[in-house]
Amino acid sequence: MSHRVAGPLDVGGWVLDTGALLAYANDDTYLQSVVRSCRRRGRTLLVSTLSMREALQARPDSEQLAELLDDAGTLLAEPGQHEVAELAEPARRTGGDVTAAHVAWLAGRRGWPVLSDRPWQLTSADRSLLVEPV
Amino acid sequence: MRARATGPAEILRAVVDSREFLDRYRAAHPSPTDPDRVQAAMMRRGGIPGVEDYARVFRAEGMPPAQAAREAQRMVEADRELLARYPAR
Repeated sequence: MSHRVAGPLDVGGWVLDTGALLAYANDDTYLQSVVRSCRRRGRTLLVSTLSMREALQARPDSEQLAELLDDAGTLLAEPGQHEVAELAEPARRTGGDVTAAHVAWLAGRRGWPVLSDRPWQLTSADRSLLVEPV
Repeated sequence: MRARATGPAEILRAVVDSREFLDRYRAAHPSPTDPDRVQAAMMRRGGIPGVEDYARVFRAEGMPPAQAAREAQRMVEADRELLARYPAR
């Protein structure tokens, strides 16, 4: 069940949290469907560099993650200097988890759905998020 | 390991650490040359997504259920075509 559904979305893509990346590395069929449906329709898969690092640290030999990392449909997002200050408050609300704060910030800015294994932590940073659990 | 920080300096450190990690990773791990082969291998190992998997994606995007079911069926057919191009060895 999704958390927080507020009518039709203008979805240009999906945000993948660390848990979603790990599910993809485990060949999860729902993650496969998200990735391939986005690619076939020209949608973007938006991934925080913090999430990608966590997933690759856990699964350094994953061919799936290596392919996702360099695919043209994947947009890796790194917080810029001016965004670092904006992340301090959401990081505090997530209990100091800067990755969760950045993932929530990315999804909230675009209004895109996010795939995550920690929906409550993300919505503690931004209550407006649509979080699909993995 | 998840990065824990609340102050700007700690957050910036986590950002830089991640950038340096990804630079090292890319230098050591070349990207697969055929993404479709990777996708076919995932389906053979983990299973092929069904209509409900794809329909869930489209419904989450706000697509009406009947349209989501039709689009999902097209995706499943595209997966079958992809698998047929990469027969099991």
